[in-house]
Amino acid sequence: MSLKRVRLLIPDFVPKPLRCLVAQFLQVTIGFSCPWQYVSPIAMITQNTGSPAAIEKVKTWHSQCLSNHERCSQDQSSQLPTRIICIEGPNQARLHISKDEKAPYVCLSHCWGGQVVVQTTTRTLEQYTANLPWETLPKTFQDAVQFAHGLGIKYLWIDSLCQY
Amino acid sequence: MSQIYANACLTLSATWATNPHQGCFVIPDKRYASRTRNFTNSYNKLYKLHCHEILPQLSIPLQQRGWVFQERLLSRRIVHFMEQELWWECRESFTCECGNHDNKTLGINKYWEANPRKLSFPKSIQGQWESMVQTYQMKSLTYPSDIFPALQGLAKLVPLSMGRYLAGHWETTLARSLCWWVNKASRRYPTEWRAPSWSWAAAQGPVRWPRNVGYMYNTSMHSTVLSAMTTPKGDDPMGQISYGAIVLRGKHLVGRIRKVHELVDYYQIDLVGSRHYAVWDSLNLRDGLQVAALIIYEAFDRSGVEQYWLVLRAVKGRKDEYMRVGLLRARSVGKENAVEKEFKIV
Repeated sequence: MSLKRVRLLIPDFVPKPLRCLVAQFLQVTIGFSCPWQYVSPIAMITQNTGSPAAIEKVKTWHSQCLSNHERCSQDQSSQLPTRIICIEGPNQARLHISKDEKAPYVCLSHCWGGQVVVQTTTRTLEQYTANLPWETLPKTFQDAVQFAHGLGIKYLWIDSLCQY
Repeated sequence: MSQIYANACLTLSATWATNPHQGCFVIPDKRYASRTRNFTNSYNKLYKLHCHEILPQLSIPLQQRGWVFQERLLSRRIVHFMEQELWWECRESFTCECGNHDNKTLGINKYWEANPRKLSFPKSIQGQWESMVQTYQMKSLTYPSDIFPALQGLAKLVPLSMGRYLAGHWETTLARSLCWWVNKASRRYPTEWRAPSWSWAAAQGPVRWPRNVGYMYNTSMHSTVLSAMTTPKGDDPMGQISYGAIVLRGKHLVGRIRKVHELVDYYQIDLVGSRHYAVWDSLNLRDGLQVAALIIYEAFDRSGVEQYWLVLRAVKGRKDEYMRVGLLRARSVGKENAVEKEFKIV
C-alpha cells in the first residue's frame, strides 16, 4: 500500500461550516487517480513548536543542510565563547567558563523588550557557575535550554548571561 | 560578538516574542494545525489528506529590531520560533512547516551569494554594504547611539582592502558613498549626537544610494578626499564615535535655500539664478539660508548625465567648518562657474 501526502489549502473566503464539506466533496469526486498529482507532497504542521516532533523536524532540516549545502559552512566544532551555558538536563543548566575548549553550541536571539532580565554580574558569577536558578530564568531562556537539550547540543549562548 | 554567532552551529530565534518572558514555544491555534483524513481511491490506494487553514500574514517583532539584524546575518543557520510554526533559515535555503512562506519574507541568503567561506561580501562590496545599510536603517533601535555597535559585527567582515571604517563608510569608496539621501526627511531633531553630518548614520530615517555604483556606468569624480577621521568613544573604531570630520576639495557654487510656499515644508535651492530640487536630510531649514553646493561626481548613462552635489551650510560660530544639509541630484547645474575650494565637513 503506498502512501501519498497531499496538502489542501481551503481559501479564506470559504465559510467555516463549509470547510469540512469542501474536503469531503473533494474526496467523493475522486475518480480513478489522485486529483492532486501536481501538488507536491508536504509535511504536516506540528502541534507544538517545543514538542519532540518539532525537535525531530529541526534535526532533519539541520542534517539536510549539513549534507547538501555547500555555502553553509560545515565546521561543527568551533571554539566555545569564554562564558557559555552548559546544559545538564531539560531543566538544569549552569554557567561554564571555557578554556579554549572546542564543542558545538547554539545561540539564542531574542528581544530584550525593554525589561531587565537576569544578568551575570560579578556578584552572581560564582552562584551561576554552580547552578543557574531555573525559576529566575525568563521563559524564553528556559525554552531555549529545553530545545537545545532535545537537539543533543550541550552548550548554549545567551547574551545577558554570557556577555561581559 | 560577531564570532559568537558565526561560530555557533545553530541560532534559536524567539522570533514571534516581543519580550523574553513570552517564551519560544507555542501551541498553535487549532485551526492551523493539520487535520488528517485517510481515504482510498478506486484502485484501493491509500491517501492521507492534511488539511489546515492558510496561515495569516505575520508581523515579526524580532525582525524589526536593529540589534537582531547582524545576529541573523552572522548566523549559519536559524530556527525561527513563530506563532504557529517553525521556520528554518540558512545561507542556502528557507523552509517553513506550512510551505507557504518563501524567502522573500526574510532571506539572509541574498547576502551570501558567492563564496561565504571567506566571509566577505560578494558582488561589489560597496554595493553590498549599501544595500545592507539600507535594510538595517529601517530597523528600530531602543538607543539611537547603538547605530554603530549594532552593525559592528558585520563591519568586521568587510575585507581590509576597503580601508579604514569611517562612521559607517569605507575609506576607499568614501567620496561616492557620501552621496546618500534620506527617503523621507523629518522635522525631528536627533535626540543625541551619534554621527557627523556627512555620515548616513546622522540621518533620521531610511537612506538610499544611487544605483549607478556598478560597472555599467561611466562616472567621473570631481571632488577628492584630502583627509578623513573619526574619534572612537571606546577602543573600537567600529563602535560608538564622539567626533568625525572630512576635508573635501572640489568645485562649489554658492546659493540660497528658498521656501516654496509659506504653509508647506517644501524647500528648493537657488543656484546661479536657477531653482533646483534637492533632497534634504531634515526639514529644519529656513528660507534664505546661505548654502554651498559641492560637486562630488557625475554619472553618465544613455539618457545623459546626472550630477551629485552635497549641499552644505556653515556651522554657527565655527570658522571654515561646514555641515551637510542635503543632496542635490541634477542633470544640468552649470558647473562651469563653480570655484574650487576646500571644505571641512563635520
